[in-house]
Amino acid sequence: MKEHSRFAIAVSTTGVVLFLAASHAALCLSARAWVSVSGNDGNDCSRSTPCRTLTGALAKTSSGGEIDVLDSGDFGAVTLDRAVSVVTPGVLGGLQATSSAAITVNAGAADRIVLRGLTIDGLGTAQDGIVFVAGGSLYVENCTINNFARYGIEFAPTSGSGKLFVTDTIVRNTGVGSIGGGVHMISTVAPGFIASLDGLRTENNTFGLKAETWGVVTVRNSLSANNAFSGMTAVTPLGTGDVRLFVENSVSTNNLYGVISSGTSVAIISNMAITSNTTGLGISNGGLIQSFGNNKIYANGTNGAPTATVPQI
Amino acid sequence: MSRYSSFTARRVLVAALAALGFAASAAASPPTSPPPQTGNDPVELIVLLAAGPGVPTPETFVDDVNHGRPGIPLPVPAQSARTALTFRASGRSLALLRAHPESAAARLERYVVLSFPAGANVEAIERALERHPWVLLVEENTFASFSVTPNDPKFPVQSDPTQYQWGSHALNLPAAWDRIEGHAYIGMADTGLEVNHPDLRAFHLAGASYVYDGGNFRPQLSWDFIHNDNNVDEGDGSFGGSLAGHGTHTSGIVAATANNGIGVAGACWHCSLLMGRMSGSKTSVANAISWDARHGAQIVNASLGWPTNDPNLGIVLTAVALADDRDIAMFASPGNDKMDIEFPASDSRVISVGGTEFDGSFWVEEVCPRPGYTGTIECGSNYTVTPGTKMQDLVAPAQKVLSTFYTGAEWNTALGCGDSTDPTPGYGLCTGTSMSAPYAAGAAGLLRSANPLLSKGAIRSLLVNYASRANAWSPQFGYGLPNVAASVTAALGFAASQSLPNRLTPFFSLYSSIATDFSYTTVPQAAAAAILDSGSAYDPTGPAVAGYPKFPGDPLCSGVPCFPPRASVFVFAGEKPPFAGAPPLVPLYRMTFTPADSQDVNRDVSYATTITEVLGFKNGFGYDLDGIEGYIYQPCTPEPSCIPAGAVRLYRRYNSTRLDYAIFPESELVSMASLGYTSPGAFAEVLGYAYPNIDSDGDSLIDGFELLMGTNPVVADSDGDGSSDGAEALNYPYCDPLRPGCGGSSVWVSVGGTDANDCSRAMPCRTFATALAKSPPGGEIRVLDSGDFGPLTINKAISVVANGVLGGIQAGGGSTAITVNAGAGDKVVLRGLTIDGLSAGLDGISFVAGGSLFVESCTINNFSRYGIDFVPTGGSGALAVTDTVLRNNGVGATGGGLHLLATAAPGPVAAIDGLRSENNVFGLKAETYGAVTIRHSLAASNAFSGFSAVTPGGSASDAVRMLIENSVATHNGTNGVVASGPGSTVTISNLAVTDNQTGLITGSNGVIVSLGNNKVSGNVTNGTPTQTVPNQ
Repeated sequence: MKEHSRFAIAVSTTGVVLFLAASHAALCLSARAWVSVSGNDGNDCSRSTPCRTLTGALAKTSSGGEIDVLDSGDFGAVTLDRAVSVVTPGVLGGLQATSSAAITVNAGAADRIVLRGLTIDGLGTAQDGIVFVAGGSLYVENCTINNFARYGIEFAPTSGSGKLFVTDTIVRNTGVGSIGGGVHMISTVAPGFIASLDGLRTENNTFGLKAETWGVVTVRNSLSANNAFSGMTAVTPLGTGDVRLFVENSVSTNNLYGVISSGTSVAIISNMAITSNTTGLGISNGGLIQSFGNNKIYANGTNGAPTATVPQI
Repeated sequence: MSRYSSFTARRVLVAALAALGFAASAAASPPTSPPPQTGNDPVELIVLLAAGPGVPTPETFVDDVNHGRPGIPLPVPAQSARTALTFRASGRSLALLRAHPESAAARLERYVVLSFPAGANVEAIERALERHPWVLLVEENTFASFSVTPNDPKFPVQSDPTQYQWGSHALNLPAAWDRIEGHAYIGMADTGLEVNHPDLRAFHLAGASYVYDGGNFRPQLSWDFIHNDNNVDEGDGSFGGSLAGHGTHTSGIVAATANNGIGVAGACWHCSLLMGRMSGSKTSVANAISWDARHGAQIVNASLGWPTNDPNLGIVLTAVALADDRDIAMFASPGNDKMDIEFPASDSRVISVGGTEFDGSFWVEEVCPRPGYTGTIECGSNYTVTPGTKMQDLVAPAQKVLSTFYTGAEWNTALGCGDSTDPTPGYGLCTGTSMSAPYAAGAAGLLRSANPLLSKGAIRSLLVNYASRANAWSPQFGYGLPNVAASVTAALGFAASQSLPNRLTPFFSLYSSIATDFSYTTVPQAAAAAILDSGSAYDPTGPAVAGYPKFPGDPLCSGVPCFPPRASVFVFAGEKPPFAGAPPLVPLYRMTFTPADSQDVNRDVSYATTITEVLGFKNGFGYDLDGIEGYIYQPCTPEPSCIPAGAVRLYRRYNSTRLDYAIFPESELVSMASLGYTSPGAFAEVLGYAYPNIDSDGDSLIDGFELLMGTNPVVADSDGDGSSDGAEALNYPYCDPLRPGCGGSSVWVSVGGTDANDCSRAMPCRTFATALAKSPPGGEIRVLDSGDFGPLTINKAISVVANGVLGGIQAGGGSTAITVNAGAGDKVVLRGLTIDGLSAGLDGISFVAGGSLFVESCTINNFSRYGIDFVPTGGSGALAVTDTVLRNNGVGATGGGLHLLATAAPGPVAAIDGLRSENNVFGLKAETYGAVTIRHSLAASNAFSGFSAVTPGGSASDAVRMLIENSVATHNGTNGVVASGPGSTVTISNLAVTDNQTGLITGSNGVIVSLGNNKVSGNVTNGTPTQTVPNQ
């Protein structure tokens, strides 16, 4: 009854405002949406009336906008279908998943997706932490990814191109048996992915990081430790492809292999410390490892040797 | 569902019975029993009429209904109709209301009240009304409950009533009175009062003449909206349905006569009390608030409330909007049920004042019955029970508060509220948040006396910022118990680190050609009422008042104030000596003659400075005392040497044709004489001395105030801190006009803040821009909680810091998120900010001028030009970037991540550590002049180059030097590292350069110097350094 009377007010005295407001609600999504444990996905995701889940917030976020985490909590698995930043400042932005992937990125070819400050956990049963299927570029910053049955990050652009940036992030305890691993980058078609990994720690996974078939990876200031198989791998298992893995100022330790290059792959290593692996440098199927002559390869079961040394300039 | 079975109605029942002393009946009533008025009283509906073509005016509508011609067919015909407002707009205000039909004032005019016979089908009538196009809103005229503890025999009563006004001590009022005694106009929406109470009345008749008692109740500024007459005292001694005990008690808390040797002292000693007597019905409450607003009240107290789940508060909300429009500080009681805060205290425009006990604890009664419950339950002050509802603002004494009481009357003996609770007749105790709100309102009276120009937001800040929990808001206490002395001291301001003993404030001058009357007031709300509401339609006259451009409620004409304030003189706001040895100050008593015929032609407003004169005006000519408006120097001898420097004689002269007294400075003697003001009239011609409205240096602070304050009257910015004396001394929060800056205190932003706040932690602001404006140079803006705080242009040294929360800035539409355009030595820190251009903003950070810029732990994303554009106009400036990510900046070939450019030597000096510049048009570029050192950084996947030093002008004197240590340039579309143009030198060490089109490239005499430890591999073309220098 009273809603009716309010509606009558709006229509008869402020019709223009009502019209604009309605258009706004229908057509414009918010450039900044909020999630909170006290929120509700029926809300508009504003700061004062936040949403409860990332999925609910995404539905109300304009392309290129931002979803911000207001307080510590678990905000559910999400498939990101547009350019968006998910930002968690100083609180716990949690995603726990028990099946499939915690975050799936399946967006437009030019879309930029930022994931900052998230705590992503698969509880040992969910498959992947972050799966990138399609999109322009993905930024993973200040995140931890833990306990997935397959990959921590599965960067597998089906189009054959996509950019990955990982900064100050930890991937641990991902993969089961010989399945899965920490950060897996794969493109089965050229030109391949382009990845920049800075401050990545991959610890106690099936493998640390692996670049497969088509792609270029630059790694710096990173650590791969206690992974069941390899610390850092460049591989072209299909017999075709071109992978280049450049590792600068990083450590690979306590893995089965420190660094692997296999097939038509090149691993270029500089200022690396490779120690306590069963095998330091592993080479197969014609893979190449180039050293700048400044690496510390010591105390592995078998240290191995680079295929070539490149002078520093 | 019928309103009459609602919770509201049950509350009404109990409140009404409680008021009548029928406690047992109330307790015995089951919760669902109907209130008595359903059986006997007519049903009233409040209807808001639309404004527009074809809709009758409220007068026509009412007239038609009353003559059997209802324009709206109804299932039950209305018995009668009336306009909801008892006093309708007239004169000029009619035209203003027609021009602004959606203003609160205009909407109030369009409320009408329809009466229907008891038992009528209210729902059917409401439905019929709501369907009609003339009708905007329908609500029932239900009753408010008063914020006094409920009536019940089980309610615990202490046998030993308090013997003194403990609450006044708890609020530190004695120390506040040392600074100012107070003289504001305070409107009471209450139940009337005992008008002849010796501690409230201003005069009593002795024979044929009035004798002055010093009290503050103003009968001519009061009205009874129950009986529609000017008698707000219905003889409560018989408690014949009148509830004036409540209003007598709250009025005494606010302004019982102080220092008169009897009874109690109010919080504000000389505050005038405007009583709008209401029944608790919505129309009567709305009328009372409207009356107060239209009679110049600076403060309104409403010790009453409705549950906020009552959807039908439209007319009261509209009245609150009108009061808000007039910048009236509103106080209300949250209620006594230990539940969520009730309306109107729940309204964001109203200050909710919860209750405390003697010991400062939150007021709770352990056992009391509550309507709707069987058995007993705790009750006490309402508060913010449900997160997200109205936040409690303050608390004040509520338990057994001693004040004036209606002589011989009992409100309710069971709850210890009545005249019998104190041995002296006319005084008694009461408990409830009805007592806490008027305490705060009285305190606000002191603040509005100290500076009548302060906004209601500033009044709230002054109370909150010095309250006991200013930095620790809680749902029960809000910001705590005010320390009124501290608030008053802050309201008076300071200079040279010394508190000001007194302030000067404009004595606004007005003239009505209708009444042929010059009128004056220091109260902006009173000026607004005289201009907008009075039938006399006053206009401001005299010199403009610098720094105070607009009266509250002025609707604006073509975007500028219609009635800009004017004043010939400034007077003292308080009564304390402004300096040692000053001549004594005397009050300016405002005296008004209101013609009996209510035609305003013979209206006159004058001033007296002594009680003898007050009685002369009253007994001799029938003038009423409105109140004290300020203070001036008493005439001294020998003139002119005894007159304080800068002050001038203030004259009072009479025009016998206009029957008008005018008040003006000596400089206007000639011009006023030409208007016929030649006679001294019946009183002394020179009132005393005040300060002329002269501002020699144009800083909005008049010369007289500058003399008193010690600032330089001919220098606009005495302390040379870039903020004028007026800006520092007039706008709360004040700055010291004699000390640069504001003393380095931090300012805060919060999503719960408002830019009307002073940006303290307790009263944070909402935007960075406002926080910056209110921060002293060199201060710090802190982010209290996650949110978006808007773009800002930085014009002084400042730190903006978000730590652990999201300090967000979004800047779309071609705008720049942060512009730094500051002084040559200014240091600017930006830390922890999340800056996004939404693919439409121009630059994330644009540095135009300043000393140094620190960008730490920020992310800058999605700008169409530069992430950071560091282009110091003078060619010099220092940049430090630490642990910061720049992504997705620039479009096509335009823009890039971090851009440094100086067209004059020496160019910027930059230290870059932990920068990630990813997926921009370029990563980092230094142009023409400058020296840049980079370490631990990454430039990846930029469309063009990663790191470049260029001198595109090609001048031989150009010089860009760049050193890159322990960093990576990779996946860049053109070059990893570029040195191009004469004078550009890039030194690289421990640099990994891979997967770029070209790793190292030089051109046009640019030079790349290697330390022989760089890893350049996997580029399409690796390139080579120009020269290699060995490590040492």
